[in-house]
Parts: sequence; structure tokens; C-alpha cells
Amino acid sequence: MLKPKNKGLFVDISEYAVLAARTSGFKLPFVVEEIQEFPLKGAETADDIRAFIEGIVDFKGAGYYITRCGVYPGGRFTRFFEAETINKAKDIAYLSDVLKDEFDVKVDACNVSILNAKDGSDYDPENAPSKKVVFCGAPHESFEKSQAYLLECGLYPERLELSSVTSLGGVCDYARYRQLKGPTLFLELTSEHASIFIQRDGQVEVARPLPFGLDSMFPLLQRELGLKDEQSARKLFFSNTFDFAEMGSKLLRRVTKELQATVGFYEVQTGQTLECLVIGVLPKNLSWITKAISDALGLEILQFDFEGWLKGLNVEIAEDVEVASLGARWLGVFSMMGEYQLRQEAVNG
Amino acid sequence: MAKKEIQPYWRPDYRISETLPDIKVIRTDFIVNFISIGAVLIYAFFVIQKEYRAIQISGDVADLESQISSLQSSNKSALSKSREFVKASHLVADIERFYDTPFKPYVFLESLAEIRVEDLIFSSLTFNENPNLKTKQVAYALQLSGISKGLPAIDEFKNLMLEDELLQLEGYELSVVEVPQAKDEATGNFPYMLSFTLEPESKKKGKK
Repeated sequence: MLKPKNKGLFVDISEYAVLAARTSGFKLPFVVEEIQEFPLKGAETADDIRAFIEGIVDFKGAGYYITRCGVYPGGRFTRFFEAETINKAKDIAYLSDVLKDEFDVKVDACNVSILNAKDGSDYDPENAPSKKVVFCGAPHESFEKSQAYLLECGLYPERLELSSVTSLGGVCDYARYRQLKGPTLFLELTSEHASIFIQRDGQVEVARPLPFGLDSMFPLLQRELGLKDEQSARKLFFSNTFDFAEMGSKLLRRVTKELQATVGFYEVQTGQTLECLVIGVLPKNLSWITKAISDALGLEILQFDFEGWLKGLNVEIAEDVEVASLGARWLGVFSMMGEYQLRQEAVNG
Repeated sequence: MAKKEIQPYWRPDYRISETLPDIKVIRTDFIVNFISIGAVLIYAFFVIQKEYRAIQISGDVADLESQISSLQSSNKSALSKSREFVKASHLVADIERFYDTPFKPYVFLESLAEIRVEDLIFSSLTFNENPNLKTKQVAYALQLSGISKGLPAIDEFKNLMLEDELLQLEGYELSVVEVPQAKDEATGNFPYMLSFTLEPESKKKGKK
């Protein structure tokens, strides 16, 4: 009652960039008033990030700003699982064993969520059991580390979300919004981690990790270009000074092989042919990766109409905010704004 | 495995509340509570004060009513005495007015006999009071008739009457009119009729 209305702030922090959006508030409906990107080269400090955030919102002398944050903690996982029977799926202990034994997750050391694969709602084994679920989470320590870093940057997390699964939810809901019937391949590629997701008609059907990340390309890049060491290769890889269009397919061969195997297996199993590709989180200067993978798999790159999609979720874009040319890397930020159950309620209603 | 609360779809919250700092610089909750409780107390105070006053007034009303009922009989008797007093005071006022008349006939008759001129006899005296209900004043009219041996006696008597203090009433104006009479040839006497009028001075001024 006594508090003046503060602006909302949504921040997605990956190893590549800090993506921030200031809104008129957190409560729907709200307006996206400004978006900004702060690329990270590796030398930036928490103070640099705070200074960037202070350029978007007014801290009013406070030490922190209330923010909804998306992070990519180390050791994160998002796994799809289909139980043999509904009865087995009702047993939380059984699901915990699956996580431990099949997916090699140290359950006791992790913060884990179980979601319904069909709509991303919290899995309720007693009242609404389902055979198909998605496990997602990360080690508790990783979340603590991410949270601590956010606080150092002056960001007080009102919500701390796993960007991988939030973005996946965004892809699923966007597919529903666009009424895409065919399956969509969603890929998350970071230095040490990669995940493949396949969704069809808003439902997750595949979620598994790749055994390597972008870092796996650097030894090959070093060899190909005769560079001094992997560090030089990494520096070159993230710079804008080299055109990777030609050798891109070579560098990505390992990735594309894994993807082809997964896609092929899925298409045979389901009889469905994949249509679209989304690669999230990658910075703009690595957009050649999306092009190379799209060419290798013969998939169309899904273009996002963020404005139209968010409007359906009661989020307006201010007139002076340009979103038409934004790439899929902004999916993490905008997905945090979506309350997808509204669309589900509209469909059910 | 840590259990999570029900979340928005595809957006579980992994915030670790235990390690978050306390960011409330000024705790406003207590201010809100303080203001709310304060407002309630103030309102309650006014309500109680009003109720207390109402009870007090009711008590006063009851006391006064009982006083009224206890004094009812003496009040009735006082009212009755008051009515009698008013009646009596009317009578007293009347009597006062009666005795306060400027003109006293019995005094007039006594004095008239002393003023009478030789060769003049009185045969009739008429006295009238003419009250004016509007002004509440009284005009007096005297009619004196008789027989005189000669006209000079009538004039002398008339002048004596006009000059004597007998008819000099304060606040009154005296006027006299002699009604002409024919001489009595048989006896050689002169009958006379004198009309004396005493009118209050204000009345006369009004007529002018």
C-alpha cells in the first residue's frame, strides 16, 4: 500500500551475454519498455554488469533491484522420460530412482522439478499422473553460485529460473501460438554443455544432453587454422573477425552427427518429419552455427514473431522497442514473461 | 530430492530463500499495521465516547423526567394559583383604574355646589363616560341645565367653571358649549344648558 510501483526487470544471464528487459511491472498485463544486451567477452566483472543494469532501471539508492532471472547453472539437466505404466509414474520414489540410475543425476545434491511433458505444469502424481514427464534442475551448489553472482551484480532474484527449460517452454508455447503441426528441434549450445529438445504441438517428446559443448570444436579449429593453442582458437571463435561459413560444417560435424542420429531415431519412431530448427542462447556473431546446422539437417530456421506471440500472453511491446529482428537468443528473456497456463485455459474454456 | 511449489507452466522457481539477504530498508508492514490499528482505535474511541455520552444523556433525561413527575403536583398547584392570581390581578387592575380615574363625580358635585352663582339654580346634571377601546382612554361629558334669573349669571358661572380647577384635569382638554334656550316669558327667567366635554389631549391632536 505504501510502496510506489516499481518497474519489472527480466534478465537472462548466459556465458555469452546479459539480456535484459525492463517492463512496466511484473503483474500481467504489462508493457516491455526497453531491452538491452550486454555482450560478455569473459573479462567483465559483477560491477560492470551492475553498471549496465543501472542504465536500464533506477535502483533508487537500493543495493539490489528485484528481478526475474534466468540462469544457466553448471551441471544442469533437462530430461524427458516416459514410464512404462501410469502406476509406476505415480511413485515418486520410482521416478527418483530413474533420475539417479538412468540419467546419472545425484538427486540429493540437486534441486529437481518434475513437469508434465504435455504442458509443463507441475507434475502431480496423486491427482494427475502422467506417463510422460520432464525432469529438470541442477546441483544445489550451482544454483547457489548463480544466485550469489546475481546478488553481486545487484540483482535480487524474485524468481530464479532455469533458462533451458524456460526457453523450451517458450518454444512449446510458440509452436501452439503459430499452430505448427510438425515437430520442432530446439538446441541449446553453450561452451561445456549442449541439449537437444524436440517438441510437437506444444508437447515435449525428446529432451537429452549432448556429450559435449562448443568447446569441443576448439581443438579442431586450432588444428585447421594452425593456431597457437585452444585459447587462441576460442578467442577467434567468438570474435567477429573470421568468416566461419566455409569451415563451419566441418567444425560442427560432431554436433550435426549427433543431431542427425537423434532426429533420425525420432522420425523413425514417431513417423513424424521434423520441420523447424531453433537454436537458443547463441550470440549474434555465432548465427552461422544455426545456418550450418539448418543446412546439414535440412530444417527451416524458425523465425520468431515475439510481438504477436507475447501479445497473446498479455505482454505488450512498447512502440519504440524493436523486436522484429531479434534472434532466438532472446527466447530466454521473453519466455520468463509468459504465463502459458492462460493459453491453456483459453483452449480448455 | 527437493520438492517445489506449483509453478507457472515450464517455469519452476529455483530461488534459494535461505541465502538471500534481507532487503527491506524500512519495514513498512508495521507502519501499515500501526496505521490500521491506530485508525481502528481512534474510531473505537469515538464510538465509545459517543455511546458514553448517549448513556449519560439518557441518565440525565431519566433524572429530569423523575424530577418532572415529582414536581408535577406542586406545579399543578402553582399553575392554578397563577391562574387565580391573574384573575385577581385583572380585578385589581380594574379597581386601580376605577380609583385612578381623573374625574371623580362625587368630588365634582361637592365643588359644583360651592361654585354656584346666586341667581342660578341647577335642575339637571348628566354625566357620561365615553371610553375609547382603541386608545383605552375615557372622554367625559357633563350636561348641566337649570334656570337663571339673568344672562350675566349664566356667563359668570360658565367662566367660573372654565377657570376653576374642578374641571382642570391633567391630560385633558376642556371645552364648553352653551345650548341656546328661549326666555321663559311667563316667569321672565332664562333656562340654560351647558355641555362640558373633557377629552384626552392625544385624541384631540389626532383629530387635527
